[in-house]
Amino acid sequence: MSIPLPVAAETIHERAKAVLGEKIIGADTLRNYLTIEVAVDDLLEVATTLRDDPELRFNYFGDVTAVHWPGEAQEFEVVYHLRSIPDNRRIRVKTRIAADDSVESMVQVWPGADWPEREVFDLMGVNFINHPDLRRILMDEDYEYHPLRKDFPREGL
Amino acid sequence: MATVEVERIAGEDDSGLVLNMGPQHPSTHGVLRVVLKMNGEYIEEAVPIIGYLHRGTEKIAESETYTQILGYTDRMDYTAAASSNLGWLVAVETLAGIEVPERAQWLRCIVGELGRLAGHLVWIGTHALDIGAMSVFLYAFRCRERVLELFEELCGARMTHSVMRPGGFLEEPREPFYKKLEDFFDYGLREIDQFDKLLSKNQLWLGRTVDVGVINADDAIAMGLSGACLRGSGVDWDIRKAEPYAAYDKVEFDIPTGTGKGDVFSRYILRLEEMRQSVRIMRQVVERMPPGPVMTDDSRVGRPDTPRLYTDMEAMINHFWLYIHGFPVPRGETYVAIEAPKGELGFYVVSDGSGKPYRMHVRSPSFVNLQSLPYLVKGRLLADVVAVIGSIDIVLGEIDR
Repeated sequence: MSIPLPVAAETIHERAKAVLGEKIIGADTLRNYLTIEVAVDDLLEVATTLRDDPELRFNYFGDVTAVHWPGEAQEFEVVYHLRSIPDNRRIRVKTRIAADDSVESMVQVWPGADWPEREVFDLMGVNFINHPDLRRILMDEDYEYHPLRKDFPREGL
Repeated sequence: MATVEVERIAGEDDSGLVLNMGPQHPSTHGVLRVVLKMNGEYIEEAVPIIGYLHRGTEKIAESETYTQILGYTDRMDYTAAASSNLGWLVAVETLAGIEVPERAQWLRCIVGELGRLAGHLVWIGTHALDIGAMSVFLYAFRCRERVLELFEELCGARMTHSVMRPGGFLEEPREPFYKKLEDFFDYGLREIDQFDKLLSKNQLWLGRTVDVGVINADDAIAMGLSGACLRGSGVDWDIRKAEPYAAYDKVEFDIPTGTGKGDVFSRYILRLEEMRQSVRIMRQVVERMPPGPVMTDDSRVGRPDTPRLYTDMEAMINHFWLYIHGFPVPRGETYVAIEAPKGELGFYVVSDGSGKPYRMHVRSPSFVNLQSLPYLVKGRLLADVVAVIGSIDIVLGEIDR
């Protein structure tokens, strides 16, 4: 068996448009890496579709992280990197939320999202609903801050 | 932190024994702590606790230049610093659109594979030591010493070397490096065969590793495992083939999948084969590497040649600018993954157009692989925890970052 090279981003985009339709509110292809943006309320449905559609089959949860853009209405950008093994498709899914918003936990779709989501919760303060065990993971349990936010000083508090 | 976890896992009725393992336990490979709820000798629940080595690399990275961050990546997977370096550089070069000369790409395969060897040799030594095979540890570290000497010949540093730079290498390795490297090949293969002879048919070893810590292919994919933990379950997946970087698309090598059973033995046997493949890759690189420069001539990132620094005003200004302000990277984002010895090491970098990243996130393979520990040891004996931790091959520097 040989591992194929990554499937062209346009091919994935065509299929994603066909199955997700208007749920994709933004898309971008850079260096053969497709990025789609979805509304936070659609996220769980989009994730399930991406996993179950026979021509997409994103069965591998690569990574989740968040980027803080203070001063904007929806200041957190939650970024997921998904893969399809062994077909070698890849996609980046993004969603924007306000500071007091919550995101559906992807553990319901991919069990591998457990620790990565705990890390985002711990360091960025993004709340995940329906996560089985949402606790701090790297910082101490009674720590009050979220160090990766931009308003947290580098020297610490 | 300590008591909270113990109370939580003990539950209301306080039945069963709660056992604390680590963070100073020698076979947790650093400062991993595992709280175990026992039923006699059997494990009912295991909760890994991490964060004892958290240094905030991602936060620090936001106020350093792209070149300076290179030094922090060394300290993530400190047993195979070359791989972390390589991952970071490939990410930066992708985002900034820097062309790396052909020779440097090939040379990076050597450095990457030497890093893999160094990492795997520490792994086999400590893994065997945990299970009770003392002599393998000594042989493995003797062999690792040869690998570290190669790094020393290459750049002067042994473990945290940062030998590569954005755009290639600072300078061409001196001639004795290639000589020593070629001498190493046969020696390395002999040593790997020796580990094979010492362990692969050893009844004690088989008893401790076969059918221990089993995970099937579907679960391994769903849990996000990568590297040897994924391949050990029979999944044919390697980033070096799937998204080739450096010159991996130009060399021939196989992807071993062990016995495909997804147990500790499968992960062991495939890592041994991976080391042989590393030597195979390096042999091809040494034979086929094209001549040429090892640093890009792109003046945005490449350091000017030393003679020019003394004679050319512009070169000097360029040099100062490069080392004080770094080089600006266009606005954008990228996620680049490489196959580190532990699995998929990914860097997600967001640039706001300045000389420092707006956000840098590391998808560290050990971190994601470790979350499968409770699954792998549930219902097993206490002694199996040690074997499973060893076979996941974790480095706490990378988990906690």
